[in-house]
Amino acid sequence: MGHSSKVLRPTQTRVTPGDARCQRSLPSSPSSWSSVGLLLIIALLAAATHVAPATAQTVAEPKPDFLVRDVNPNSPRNGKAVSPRDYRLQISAFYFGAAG
Amino acid sequence: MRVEILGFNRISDEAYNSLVARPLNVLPWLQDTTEQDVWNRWAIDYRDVLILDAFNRPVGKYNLTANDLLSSARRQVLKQLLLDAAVIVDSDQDGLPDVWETFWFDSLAQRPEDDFDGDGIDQRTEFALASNPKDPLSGPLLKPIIVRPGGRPALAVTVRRFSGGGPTLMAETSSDLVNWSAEPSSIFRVGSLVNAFDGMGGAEARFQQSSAAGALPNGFVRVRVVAP
Repeated sequence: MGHSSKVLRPTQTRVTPGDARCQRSLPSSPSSWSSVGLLLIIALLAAATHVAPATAQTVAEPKPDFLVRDVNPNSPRNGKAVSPRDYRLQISAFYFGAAG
Repeated sequence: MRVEILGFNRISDEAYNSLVARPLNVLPWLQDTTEQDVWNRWAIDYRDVLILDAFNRPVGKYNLTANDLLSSARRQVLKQLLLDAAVIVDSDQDGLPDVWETFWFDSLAQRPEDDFDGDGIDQRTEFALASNPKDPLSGPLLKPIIVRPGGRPALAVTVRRFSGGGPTLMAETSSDLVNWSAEPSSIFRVGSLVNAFDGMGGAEARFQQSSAAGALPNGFVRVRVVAP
């Protein structure tokens, strides 16, 4: 379908520390975050009990840690410092976008 | 497994954070800082969705500029990436997911009846209740509280459990410690799982006595881990 999804495997890990590609400036898309949010919440519910036979395991390196603040006043973690380590033994999906 | 979604704002867009404050948007919105510089350190492209596994390892990336989610096909692709990441695998079919065994022991050698840390709690229970199987001081977390629905007291307990599936937890109540009931007319689950964000996959569930059970002179609650 020509989609550019990436399932990262050991030989396909394309992220490199220090890459500054994120500095390019693009206009924000007001509808983007709400669309993603709705979809991903649905996916969360559907994923919780999905069980399947063994498949190939990824062995990419863990992403570097960070500690940043949750600034959404409606989030249960508002005001707290958040780390990806809080989400170990769970699946976490980070959307790097614009507010709005 | 449980999937948690977070948004991440870049440093230059900090002034627009107020735009996320909509009543139905309860997802965390993280603000990058010059000190943390996550967008750079993680080599992020604008509008990437980066999926991390239980070890914080990247297992999928989907860019929403290249793949606009106005397309249902692309929404399906992203959903499938998340579903694939959330699959629970139990290669040795011992009831302990591979991810849990390798997270704690870097192997699949543990058996449900083992007690690695010698605290009297077997691995099945350590897994089910999201405690640390290598720390004898880490055990089941049960927090009792008296609630008063309709003005009558009732006993409620909050229990920590593994958030991404696992054995069933059965709450039971009794007035004499002899006869126990798990019937919804006696005790029931309240609300949804609340993520503990403890880095061990834990979440908290609450069970509460019914008003009828709470009206009895004595009341006890227990929570059992039911082996599959």
